[in-house]
Amino acid sequence: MSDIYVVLSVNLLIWFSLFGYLFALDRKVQKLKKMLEND
Amino acid sequence: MLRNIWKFLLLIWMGVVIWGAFTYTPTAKALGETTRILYFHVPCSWVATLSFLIAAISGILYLVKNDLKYDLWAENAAHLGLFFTVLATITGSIWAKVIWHPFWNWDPRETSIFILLLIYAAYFALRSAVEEDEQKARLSAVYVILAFITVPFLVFIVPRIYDSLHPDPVINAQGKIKMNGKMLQVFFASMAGFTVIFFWMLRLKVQTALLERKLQMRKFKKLTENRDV
Amino acid sequence: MAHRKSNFIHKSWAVFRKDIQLEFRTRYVINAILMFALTVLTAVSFSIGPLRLRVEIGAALLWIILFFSAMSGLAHIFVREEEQQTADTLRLFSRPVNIFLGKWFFNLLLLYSLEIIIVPLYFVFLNVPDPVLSIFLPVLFLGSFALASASTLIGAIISQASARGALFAVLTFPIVLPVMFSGIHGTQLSFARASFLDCLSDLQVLLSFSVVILTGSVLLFEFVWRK
Repeated sequence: MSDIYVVLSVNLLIWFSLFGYLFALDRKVQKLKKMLEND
Repeated sequence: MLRNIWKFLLLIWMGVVIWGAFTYTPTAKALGETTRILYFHVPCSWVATLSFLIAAISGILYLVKNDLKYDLWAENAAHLGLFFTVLATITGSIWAKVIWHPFWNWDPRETSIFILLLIYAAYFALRSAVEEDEQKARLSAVYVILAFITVPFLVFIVPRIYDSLHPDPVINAQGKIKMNGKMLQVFFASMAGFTVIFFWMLRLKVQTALLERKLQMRKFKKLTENRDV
Repeated sequence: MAHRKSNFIHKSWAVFRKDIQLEFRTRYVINAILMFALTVLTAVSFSIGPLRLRVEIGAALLWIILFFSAMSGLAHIFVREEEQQTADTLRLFSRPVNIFLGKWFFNLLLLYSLEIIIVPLYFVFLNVPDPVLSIFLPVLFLGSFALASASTLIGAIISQASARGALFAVLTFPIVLPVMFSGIHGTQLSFARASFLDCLSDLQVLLSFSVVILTGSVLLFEFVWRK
């Protein structure tokens, strides 16, 4: 039964880091676009 | 908004994959519930290897065409490659700990992913040791190509030397895949999903880098304009 | 036709001759690489003492010593050109192919010269089984050939970078892993008194690796060399 928690935590690790990365990337793109518009 | 619809589709697709991995698929006998890790761990390794291929191709393109944008593709592919290699190593290690107890065994798959990690690390070490952009691009392109041509040897050698602890009787991702129909469906769906995620991230990163450069050039222009006045 | 071919070899040989003459005068790199190898060998032998080494460990130690000795010396022919600022002159006089082949041959000879001294000492200082020479020698020969070939191109790369010493080993290790695997495995077989047929796959790997790496290096060197 405890095995399933391992799978869940692995999933959490992957999706958390993936979405974190994607989110950070997206924010950076938005920020840069704004800076370019302001100039 | 219509342009972004594929992002929502991707989200739904991966949602279905995750649901399928947890409920739709059966488990393999020897592995129990931990079988399900396979639908997430293997795609990470796959993407890590794909990044390597993309970086090598970008390297070749840079050497041929001498356009620094190819170096951007190579560097960012390598970034992502490193990211997914670390993910694959950690998830693989957790999986190994649960099944065979030691965190690390130096079996062929683990060894291969570790070598990939070393190659990426070496790539970035080289880049940080060279100041000038053109030189940096040129030398790192040569290195990643050189590293890539050693891959066939590694694929051939690594399994020979050590006995594999990877669950070959059940899952053998290199040769025949002894998974039943349901497992295969979810597996390939996950692989496809991860691949799309990878290319999305890569494109985002390259776009970011290009935007940054645009910004830099504008700042530089402004500086020089002001000085003239 | 014959004239053009001999001209090609002649030019590469000229590069090699210049380097070997310089080396004979100063004996800089052969001393450095030899002292390094001796130091490592002594350190290992001292730490292990009279213990009889397991076949696997003995084989691994030999190739570790060879690898790090290579790392201490095989970049010298390029680094020297950069440091003494003779590289640009060389660019004017010779084509990249000739430069690479001349320096590659230098590295090859350097590594083999080192081994002539170090390998017998290795057997003196460490308590390893007597090797089956028909396996040991080809493995050593081909393995060093592969090691020197890979190191030459990477040496050229790092000569244009900073932090050269550490960088050389970091870059070379992942590339020469197949050589290390096969070299160690083949050497193990020679200690374990296997038959020659057993080591054929290792020799195959070493030979094909050398061919691939050399070809790749000749093609890629031009990009490293041009500025």
